[in-house]
Amino acid sequence: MSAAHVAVSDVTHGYGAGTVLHAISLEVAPGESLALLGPSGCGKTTLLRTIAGLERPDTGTINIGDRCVASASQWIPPEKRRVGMVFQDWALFPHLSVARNVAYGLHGSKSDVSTRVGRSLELVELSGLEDRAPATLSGGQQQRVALARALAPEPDVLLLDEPFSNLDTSLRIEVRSEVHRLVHELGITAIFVTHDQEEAFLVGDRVAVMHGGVIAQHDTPRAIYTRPANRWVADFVGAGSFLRGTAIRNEVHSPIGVLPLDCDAAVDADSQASLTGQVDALVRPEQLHLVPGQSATVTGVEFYGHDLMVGVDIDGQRLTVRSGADDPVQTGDAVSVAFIGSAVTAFASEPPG
Amino acid sequence: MVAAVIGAIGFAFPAGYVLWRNITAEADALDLVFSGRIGAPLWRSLKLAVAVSVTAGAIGTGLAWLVARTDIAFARFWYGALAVPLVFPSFIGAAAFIRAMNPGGIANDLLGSFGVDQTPELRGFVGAWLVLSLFTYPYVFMPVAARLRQIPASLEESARLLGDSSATAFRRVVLPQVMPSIGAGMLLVFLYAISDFGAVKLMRYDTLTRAIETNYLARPDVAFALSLVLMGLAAVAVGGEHLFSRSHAVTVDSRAPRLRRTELGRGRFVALLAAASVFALATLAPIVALVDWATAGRFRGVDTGRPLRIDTGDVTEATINTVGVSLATALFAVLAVLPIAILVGRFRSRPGGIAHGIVLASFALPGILIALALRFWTLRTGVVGAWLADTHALLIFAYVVRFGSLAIGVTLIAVRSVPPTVRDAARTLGANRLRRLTSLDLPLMRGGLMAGAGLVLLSTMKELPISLLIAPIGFPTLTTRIFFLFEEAFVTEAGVLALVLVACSFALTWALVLRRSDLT
Repeated sequence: MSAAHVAVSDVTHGYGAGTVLHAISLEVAPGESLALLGPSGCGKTTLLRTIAGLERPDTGTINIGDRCVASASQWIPPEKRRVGMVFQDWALFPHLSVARNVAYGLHGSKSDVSTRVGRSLELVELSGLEDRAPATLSGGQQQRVALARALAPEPDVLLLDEPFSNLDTSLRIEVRSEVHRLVHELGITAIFVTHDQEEAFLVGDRVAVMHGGVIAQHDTPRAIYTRPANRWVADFVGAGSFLRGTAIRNEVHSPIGVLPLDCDAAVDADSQASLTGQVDALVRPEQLHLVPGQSATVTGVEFYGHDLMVGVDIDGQRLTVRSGADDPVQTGDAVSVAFIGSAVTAFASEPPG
Repeated sequence: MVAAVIGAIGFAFPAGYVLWRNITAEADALDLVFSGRIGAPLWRSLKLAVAVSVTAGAIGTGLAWLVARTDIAFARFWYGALAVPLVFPSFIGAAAFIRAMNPGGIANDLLGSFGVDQTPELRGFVGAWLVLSLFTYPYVFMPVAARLRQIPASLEESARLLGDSSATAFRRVVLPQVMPSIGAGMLLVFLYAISDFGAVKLMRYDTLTRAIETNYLARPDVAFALSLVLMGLAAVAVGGEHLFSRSHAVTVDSRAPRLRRTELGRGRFVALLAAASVFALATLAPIVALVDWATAGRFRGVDTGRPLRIDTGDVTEATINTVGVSLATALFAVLAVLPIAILVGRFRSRPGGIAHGIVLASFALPGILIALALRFWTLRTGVVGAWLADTHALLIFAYVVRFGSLAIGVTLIAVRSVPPTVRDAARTLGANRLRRLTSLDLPLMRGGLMAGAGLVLLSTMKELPISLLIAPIGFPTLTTRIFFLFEEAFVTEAGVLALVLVACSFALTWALVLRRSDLT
């Protein structure tokens, strides 16, 4: 299995009136797996299809390995790109058996093809189902056939379009760790599209958060979670609340006390200016703790089994605080909130109105 | 794209030619339309079509309800058996009834043995109305029964929980859901009745189609004016149905829904009797009559004043001709509509949509009108016409225009049944256009294309007016041969040929329609 470097530069693509991709640039290192994360309509699937060659960009270039596959002067159709793709609905050929689905992209002698089909099916742990029709398989099995089919021709890069969204929750968790393990073992360059942040963090070595046809942030999952590049990313990724306070040097003075500012976040991500004056600090529920006191009121409690999410109102601002599942807190209780995290990210307050 | 445009022009051609002939006619078409020459047959056509569609609508809906929604005995059998009359071309049905009632016919003999000397002669309006109703009610029965079987019990149950009585729930919840099916079925019956040629001719009931046939040699301008009126009638019917039927978004659950069946109680016997008598009249009676003809002279000493002869060579020739020309028609019909279906189904193109509309509209075009237009066009168009006249190509073209619309629905479904992601997946696996076509599109569409071809094949085999007017001289088909033999009273051979035709038609209908209409 080869692992190719993928480079997308300055790609613009429009459907009719609205532009779907605005000057996208993106690099994926050989063997790296990248998750394209964003809400529906953000252009992530279009970007994936552009890399596959199923859409042609209006401008910009795409390189896979040392080949330019799309530019103003060059165009390599999908059938010649050596990309494997797993589709959202898996797109198994309904009239072909599992083995013939997997063999579809293979060439060579009959025995050679059947060896490679066998190996691919073994890889996804479906040996023995060669002669079954796709419709007779469970969702999870169909998903793995689609993966085996995409991997069998040993593509340079593997693309997966929301590959787990058609599976039940419990199966989804199982299958995605399986796929994650496989992609890493094979060392193949992989690009996933997903709208699920948890999934993106789990399967992506790096994550590109997309919004409105542009990449809002491209970084490691940890960096995206702790230091979102802008207010929109902060809002979209993970739970959290914005707490209004005043930035003085590297601290935010807020109703729950003084919060240390993350060194990198001491600069306003949006304007690149040094943060001073009124700011909104992003506080995650796990950075907060309920303590006895009278400064806040509980507005709601959500029980998740492993923990509680408690909504509180403090000086008219709403915060979400994580608490232990055995905390007897109830709506209407008077409490106080303590900050137990190490640092926060802050954004200059939006002008009122 | 080009293929689709050519196809659409072909389908629009006969109607266009009729219009053009009327515009360029020396006599004022409008004058003719309002003269008695046209008024009387128009009135008869209208009267017959309305009577037949109302009767067929009532029989079809009633039986559909009994079979799909009550505890009638042998429901599953009736579901298939009551659709069988579709296999009889109406003129064979008419012939069977006429013959059976005539002196020497089986019904006449039978009644005679009970002491009834005078069997009523089945001719004119009553005969045409009876025969057409009996052989067209499945057009209502089948869709309505299918629809009734799709409405889940939960709908009626919700209505009951919200305070409706059983009858009210049926009226407010079930009926609105089957109305579109009833309307569409009755439209088919109406179009069938106005375009029917064989049955009305045998019944000596002069409708528009018969008037066209009697006038087309002597007074072509009258024939074209009659055609225009016929076309208008079809258009009004289609438009009217469109106006009144609101299409409901039908949610079809792939699992068979739980159904509510009304318990008939004592009415069960009456219901069974109703189903059985329709079956006896519309299926058993004509079959018995045909068998009686075919075997006449062997089991009963019948003298019809004609030699009882049967020439196996003639039977084979007509069968081979019919099967050959029908197969060719089926093939060309699918080839003609496929580009249009691809344009509409895959590319949602606007010209494709217009072409699709033209093909669909051609469904309402009576066969006699297509025959007339093509016959005159070849007479009038110099070299090309002379070269095409009396050729198989012209006959097949006429059939394709008549029945291509039957294929476009399933063809479109077939085109849409190939998911675009499957095609994309094949591309990422390195398949070029040709390989995608042969390895994915054709195998996946095969079932649908075959079904489309089969529907065309079935209808072409039963076709009469086009075959009569356009078939090359010396090229007898089953229908034309049966028609002549019956008129000349060579009943034995007519009976054998009719049985061959009905058997072929039954086999095809079973394979294409009944087997698929969820008998399971």
